[in-house]
Amino acid sequence: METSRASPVTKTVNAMATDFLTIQRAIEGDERALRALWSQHAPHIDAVVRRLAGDPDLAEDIAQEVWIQIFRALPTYRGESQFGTWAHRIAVNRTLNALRRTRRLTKIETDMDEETVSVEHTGDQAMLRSVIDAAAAKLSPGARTVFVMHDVEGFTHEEIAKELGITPGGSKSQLFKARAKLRRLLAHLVDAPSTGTGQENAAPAY
Amino acid sequence: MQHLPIERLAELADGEPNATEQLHLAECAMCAAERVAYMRVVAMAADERRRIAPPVTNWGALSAELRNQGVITTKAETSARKVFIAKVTRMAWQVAAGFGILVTGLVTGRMSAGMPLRTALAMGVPDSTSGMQLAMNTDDFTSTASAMQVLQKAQQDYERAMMYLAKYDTSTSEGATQAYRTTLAALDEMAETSLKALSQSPADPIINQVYFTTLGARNMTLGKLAAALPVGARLSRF
Repeated sequence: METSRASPVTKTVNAMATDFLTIQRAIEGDERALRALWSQHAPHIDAVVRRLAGDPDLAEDIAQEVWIQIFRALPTYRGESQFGTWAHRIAVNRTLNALRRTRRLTKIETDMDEETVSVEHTGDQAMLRSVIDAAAAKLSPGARTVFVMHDVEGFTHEEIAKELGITPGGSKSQLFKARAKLRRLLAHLVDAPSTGTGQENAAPAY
Repeated sequence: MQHLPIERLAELADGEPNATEQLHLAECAMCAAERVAYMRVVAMAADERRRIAPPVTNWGALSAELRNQGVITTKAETSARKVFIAKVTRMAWQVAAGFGILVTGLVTGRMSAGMPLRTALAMGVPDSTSGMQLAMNTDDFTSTASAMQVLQKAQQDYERAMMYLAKYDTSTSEGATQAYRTTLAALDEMAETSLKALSQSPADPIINQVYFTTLGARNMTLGKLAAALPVGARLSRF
């Protein structure tokens, strides 16, 4: 009876023990263990890579490189954080390195382009999510990277500054510019319906 | 009315307005609505983090590359490597034990010849013993690269210590030669096992390192054993 009602702590401990055994087997080169880790974490890890890369083809190449790096680094995993968190950190670092190589981050202070796109309104939640992804792809590489790292992945400005070799102030400036552009691109989704007509919904003409 | 700047409103999506801004937001419906719009952008971004999407990688291509790079190994290779590591660990302890006997023998020999204990100890404990102790504690390593570094340093320290002993230590006690013979036998077994493992995994860096370290240590021990023999005695067996 007690086993069927395991506490969240017990479940977490059990999950970590299972992860630990899988990781041990993966370090020894066991394909089934490596595949189990990939199956469990690829939806999150690949999503991080895809968001940072912006381009699906580029993301595919980088994600493969990221997974090879994660598996090669497995013997250095000391279990101080959850495997997913550890792998997430590698994914971000490796993706940023790959983007630097492809010179997509060389000019981090790139001015925002003023291209406008219309975004269709839809009530479907899944579509809403893909819409912000598509809108973020319209940002300059530097602004998209800062936006994804801060607002999506939860990095602080200090961490972003360290990763990208810019100042925390530069990171903030890029983020607010990115939000401002996304706010315009997603106007149909983020403007409050209760505010009335289109004229009233428009952003203030500052 | 002076509206709040766009970038400040974007910042206020997850930041706190100051007293003046708070007053303005309370009075200006347009700026308040703008702030709410930015909050929605930030909330959508946070939702994005939880999104589960089909992976962009596929296991077929990934596993082929992992196999290519030696990350995925066959069961036979994995098992052979495990057996090899277990054997080498056991033999390393034998070598360490032989080395311990050797140092004890040397110190005892010197003391029986009238040397003070402090001097005998100072001469008889080469740098390599600390390297060996470090290598046995697996918690000291943070990566395979750091472990390899320690392994290489231990090899260099061992060789330096053996060269020093070969040059300056004139002890010829029976205990010392017996300790060299024990060490040499263990090193020979290690070299043979390493060679067998190398034939199965010729490119494995750890097995290569162990093999060459063993050969280096074996040569040094052999030289020291020959030097430790009494004048006129020849090394025919150990």
